[in-house]
This record gives sequence, structure tokens and C-alpha cells, in this order.
Amino acid sequence: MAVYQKCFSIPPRFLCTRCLSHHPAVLTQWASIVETQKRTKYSQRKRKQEERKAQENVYVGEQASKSRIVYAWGLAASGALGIASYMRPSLKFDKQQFAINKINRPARVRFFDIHKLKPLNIACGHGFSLIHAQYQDKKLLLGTGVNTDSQLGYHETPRGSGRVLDQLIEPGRLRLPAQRPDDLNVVSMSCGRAHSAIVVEDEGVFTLGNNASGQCGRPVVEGEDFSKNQTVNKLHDLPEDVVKVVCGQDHTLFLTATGQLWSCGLGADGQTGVGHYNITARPQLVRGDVEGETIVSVSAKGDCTLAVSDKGDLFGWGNSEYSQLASITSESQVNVPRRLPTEICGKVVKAVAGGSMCALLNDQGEVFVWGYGILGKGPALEVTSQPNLIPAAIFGRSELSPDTRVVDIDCGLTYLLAQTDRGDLYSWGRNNQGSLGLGQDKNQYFPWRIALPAETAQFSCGPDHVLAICRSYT
Amino acid sequence: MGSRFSWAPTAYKMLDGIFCIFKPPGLPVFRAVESIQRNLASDLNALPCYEYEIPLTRSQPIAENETETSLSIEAEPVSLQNWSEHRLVLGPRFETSDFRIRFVDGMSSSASGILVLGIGRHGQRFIDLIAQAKYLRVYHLKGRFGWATDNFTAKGRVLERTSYKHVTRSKLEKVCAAVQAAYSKQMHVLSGVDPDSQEAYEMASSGIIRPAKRHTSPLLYGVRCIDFQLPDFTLEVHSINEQGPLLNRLIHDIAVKLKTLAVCSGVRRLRYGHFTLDRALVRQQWHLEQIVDNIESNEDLLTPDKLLVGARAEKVKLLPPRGKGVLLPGPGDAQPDSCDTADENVSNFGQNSDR
Repeated sequence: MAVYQKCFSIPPRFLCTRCLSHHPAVLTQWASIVETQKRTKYSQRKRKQEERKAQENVYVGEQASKSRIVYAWGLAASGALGIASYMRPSLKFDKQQFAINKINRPARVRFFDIHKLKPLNIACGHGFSLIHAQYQDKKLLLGTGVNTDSQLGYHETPRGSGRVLDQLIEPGRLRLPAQRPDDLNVVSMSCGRAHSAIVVEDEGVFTLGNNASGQCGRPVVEGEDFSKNQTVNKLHDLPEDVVKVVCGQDHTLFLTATGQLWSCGLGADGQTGVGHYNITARPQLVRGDVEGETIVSVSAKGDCTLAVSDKGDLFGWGNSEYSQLASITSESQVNVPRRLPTEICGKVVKAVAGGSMCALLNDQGEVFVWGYGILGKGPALEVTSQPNLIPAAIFGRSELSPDTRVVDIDCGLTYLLAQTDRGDLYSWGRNNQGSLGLGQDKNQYFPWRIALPAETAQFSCGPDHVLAICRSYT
Repeated sequence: MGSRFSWAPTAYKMLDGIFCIFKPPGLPVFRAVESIQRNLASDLNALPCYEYEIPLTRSQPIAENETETSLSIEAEPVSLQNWSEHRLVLGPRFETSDFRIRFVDGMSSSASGILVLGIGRHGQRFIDLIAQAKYLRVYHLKGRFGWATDNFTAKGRVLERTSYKHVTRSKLEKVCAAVQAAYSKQMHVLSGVDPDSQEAYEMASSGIIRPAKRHTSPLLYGVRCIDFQLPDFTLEVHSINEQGPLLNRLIHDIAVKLKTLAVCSGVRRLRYGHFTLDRALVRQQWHLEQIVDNIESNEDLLTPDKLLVGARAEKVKLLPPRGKGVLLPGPGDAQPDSCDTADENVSNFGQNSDR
């Protein structure tokens, strides 16, 4: 055969036994024509089958427990998602040249898996995020995103070089001047437009970032440069039992265990609720209708503030340009907390105020919305001053699952999110930079479920990005 | 056995409508239909069928041992009878092909459960309407953890075996909830309505949304664990436009999410829209009288408000508000005022019709 090939320099021509024709693919491997395929006997197949049956595979680990997974979506250009490869594609793919500026579906933040961090708490602000995480026996505070006002602390790399980061594309450690910096038991944390506030157990309240309006709770310094600023302010004017802190755009609210409310920051729309429209540089007790009430929940994302008492009463103050407070006033600003009528809503558990829309959750697990914008009742309802019920059927309640209820709500400036007791996350509103997480860039006019492959445990909304801590099923 | 019918053609005319049976497992649907046809033919042929039929009795036995001496020219035949009207000459009046039976949404032979059949001229017509109504179906799926087969059923070739001791009921229920929620998005997509419209919101708030077309990809409206005893478990599934392999595969997919494997060991359809198990005829009842009774009892399900629910009748405003007892209005009856009220009752149609 070799001689034949040498002489004629062409392969020998054989007929393919299958198709009875000449084709080169077979001719080059002419040995395969000659050898017939080996047939397996029944007994052999049976033995294989029995072997397969005898072997038991274990897919689940020995010490398997539910793992916590962080998902993020929305604007990625700020770095607030904590996914470094979006901003620097060469980290993941050598040939990818273009940064991903926004992602409109939930993306897994692998940083926590890689570094074996267990996320405990999250907070999203305007282009930055705070994450409280556990590493072995340490409890740390991490920050990612824009740091132009030092709202994520002072990050000088390399140390002593004078090169201070004004943007973090991956979570970096935020060091607080605490007694035990490796064991930060963060009770509550929140992010505003360019400042962040953290409540640490046994340590007190820390604020950092922009203080142009006194939102950090310290006196305003004229012409202060907040970038590359190492200042971390510890608040001394507050009671010791602060359990919750909430940042509006440029103001901060502190809630104590006894139900008192304190506030500081910009009061141009009356959002501080202290009775005037000026800047409040030191935290002051909020009076008005909330005085004497035990407040259990407070929320502000823009310049309108809502609070809920333990009796289920709703209080509101601040901006009312978009009919947020139109049920009690015709003016566009209120600087003192006022009780809002919520007879039709039952006992209110939580209320959130976005830029132009508000929502509340009652103890029946029902969601009511009012204000202006895409409220979640179709394109027909644009503006209303009275709370409107979103039918529970949209959140999955039906005759097949009559117990489904909403357990948590939160909002960005233009959109709302609701979490059900089954761990499903629903979003609706104006789709700012893909922050609805629905895999599309369109606005959504009624609640729609986000496709998350795990059950949601906790979530936080910024104006253009969302972070969610999820638990795997097994 | 005495029948309440005395005349077969009358009984045959009553075989005209919708009836439902409980198909046992292991019997293909077409075999079940053939069995019903055979039963009906034999039942009807047992009744009086011919007007001038000669009863099959020997009134005058033919004498065989008569001697030749009695024969004479004047002698007349002892028995001269016209046998042309006898049953053995005429043959059976009804054959299996006389019964036109159609079914809607059949099932695989290994599955069991309720099956809706139409017989006769009206039956054929109503079967089409029932198919267009896209009724919700309720299934009970039995699964067993521990191994996977090539066709996802317990009878297939074993491919792999896994451990399953870590699976708990709460974990299974969570995965079921996730599967159900994942299909809700598909539900909106297949409804054929612009998601940015007010109509889409109205449909979403009414709960169940039917697909716009008859043949779409499968939709699961509810997946729930109703029984859990390792390694066996039972799921209740509410669905539209599903197919047998999908239900088998659903068990497998759920198990994979639980980090194990499972096979589907049984499929049973408990309900087909308004047709529930108490209406269904078991195999011993597939006979003339029970089928006629069943056809009569099912006539209350063939009203427009129940039949036109999935055919987007509420959208084209054919239906008046529920409870007024009005049938389809004529073309001149539609008024703008009544249209609005009909539109408000969209949610009622969607919810009540599938009880």
C-alpha cells in the first residue's frame, strides 16, 4: 500500500462500505472501512448497566449548607456593582476591549465567593455601595463605587504615594476608627448621594463623605475639599441607642430604640422635619406629629421622608411636589412631620419614599402606591395622592398559593422593588440604567418578577443599581 | 340485564355530546376509544334494532324423521317462513365505525386520569370549542429520588444513581415555588398582549393569564408539593398546553436543582377545566346507559360563559356580565355602556371559570 501511495502520490480508491461511493474523508482513513464496528453483547451491556446502578454519586457536599450569593444589576460604570471585570475587561478576557457600562439582569458578584466572604448586610447609594461581610471570625466593612467625596474612606495605593483612589471598581476595605476594627457589628448602614452613615454596636454612629449641607452631622466648613479627605466623623450629639440610620439624598435620619427620630443635613424641602428649611448641621430631635410616637420604620431616598409608628400610623414630611403629601397639604413643601390618612391601608408596617413616588406595606402583605410616575398600576395611573392597592395577584397570590405575601419593599428614585415570603423579587418603574433587572431596557408598568436563580434574603436599592443577598436552594 | 331503552335507534340519537372518562394507566387513548366504540355497538345491538325483526326462536321445529309415505303432491311445506328479516340474516345494525368519537388533549399511555371525549355531531363541535377554551389542567406527578433514566420515567434505562438523603420538604417546596414563578413570565409573553399597555396590567391583576393561541409552549401556573416521604414525593401541577414528556422532565429538573436525580413514576390528571373526577366514568362504566347519563349531566358545562373563556371572548366583548343569564347577544345588541361593564368583569371570568 505504501508503495502504491508513493508511486501515484494519490490515495488508493476504495468504495465506502456505507454509501458505496468514493469520498476523501473516508479514503484518508481507509482502515476504518475494513474494520467493522464491534458489537457489544447483551451480557456486556447488562453488566455495564448493573455497574452503573451499583455506583451511587453524591452531588451534594458533606457539610453542605445554604450558601449566600450576592447578585447585582444596574449601572456598572460607577463600579458600585463590585464586578471589576466590567470596568476592566482584560481582567477576565484578554481580547475583550469594551467595558460594560450597565447590566440589566442580575449578575453574580464573584468577589465574595473568591475571597470567601459571607455578606451580612448591604446598602446602596448614588453610585457606590457598602457591604458588611464576615471573613472567618472577622467582621469587616467593604465599599465599592465612586469615592469622589471620600464616602468610602481614604484609599491610598500604594501607601505613601499620594495616589488616592476616587473610584473603586471592586470592594475595598473601609476602615473605621473603632475600638475593635476587625469585629465591627454593624447594626445599620445607609448611603446617600455622597455620604454614608454606619451604626456599629457598642461603638456609635460614624459618618463619612460629603458634608456640604451638614449631612454628616458635623458643622459645615466653608470650602472644604471632600475628595482625598480622611475625616471619619463619630457623632456625639445622639442618644446611645441608635438602631437605624437612613440617608436621604442630602440628609440623614437616626432612629433610636425608643422610637425617637433625629435628623441632620439639608432642609431645603423640609426633609429634615425640624421645622425650618435651613441646613441642620448637628442632629436634632424631629418633633411635630411624630413626637410621643414610637417610630419603627423610616425611609427616604430623595427629598421626601416617610416614617411609620408601631401603631401602624404613617407620617410624612419634606417635598410634596409630586403629590406625595397632597392628602394633607396643598403646598409643595412640609417642614414638620404630619400624620397621613391611611384608613384604607390597614396597619402600615413599612413605607418607602422615592424621588416622586411612595409605597407602603401593610401587615397583610399588601402594597399601596401613590405619588407620581410609573406607580405599578399600568400606564393609566400616573399621579395620585391617595394610596392605591396593587392587587396581590400580581405578586403571585392566587387560589393555588393564597398565602403569598409581600414581606419587604424598597425603592430607588424612579422604581420600586418588592420581596415576597417565597424569596421572589418583583420590580417595576422607570428602568434607569437597567436597574429593574428584568433583562430589558424598557420601563415596566406593573410588578414583574426578576429571574433570580436563588431566593432573596435581603436587597438594597440605589438610584441606578441594586444589590441583593440571596440564598441558594440547597 | 334489562335496559331502560326499548329501541336502539332512539338510544343512538341520544349519543350526541360530551362525556368524560377516567383513562386507566397502561391503556393507550386510542385503545380506550376503540373499547368504548365496541361497548356501544354491542349494547345497542342487544336492543331491538329492526322494525320487522323475527325473534330468534323456533316456533315450529322442522320434522326430520318424517317418512316418505306422508309426502304427496298436495302436501304443502311444513314451514315456509321469510327469514330475510331475521337478525342472523340482517347482521348487527351498529358497527364500531358508526360512533365518531374525538378526544381533546390526550395523554401518554402510561398516564392516567380524566379524558374528555365528544361523540356525535354536536360532540365534534363542542370538542373544538373546549380545545379553544384552553382549560386549566391539574396533575398529580409522582416522583422518586435516587436515579435518572433515559426517558425520565421509572421504566427507562438507568443512567445514574445518586444520594438523596439531604433533600427535605422545605427545600423541595422552595424549588417548586421558583419553578412556578419562572413560568409566570412566560405567561405574560404568550398572552399576546403588549406588556406596556393597561390591558396587560388588568390581565396580570386577574391572576391567571391564558395563552393567546391554542398550541403554545407549555405553561405551568402552579407547582406544589403535596406529599413527601423520601424517596417518594408527589407534586400537584396546574398547567395549560403541557405534554407528557414535559411533566416527566419537570421532575428531573426539580431534582437537579436539589443536587440529586429523580424519575417520574406516575402521572395522573385530576381535572380538565370544569371536568372533575366525580364526572368521569371508570372503565366498568363505559357502557351505553352511563355514557348517555354522562352526556346529559355534562350539558351544563357547555354554556357560552364556560366555553368561550379562553377564546378571548371577554376581549372581543361577546360576553355579558356573569350572572345575568344572557346568551350570546346578536350583532345589534352591543352597546358602548354594556361593553364597559363587560370589560370590568374580565377578572371574574378568569377566576371563576376554572373552579
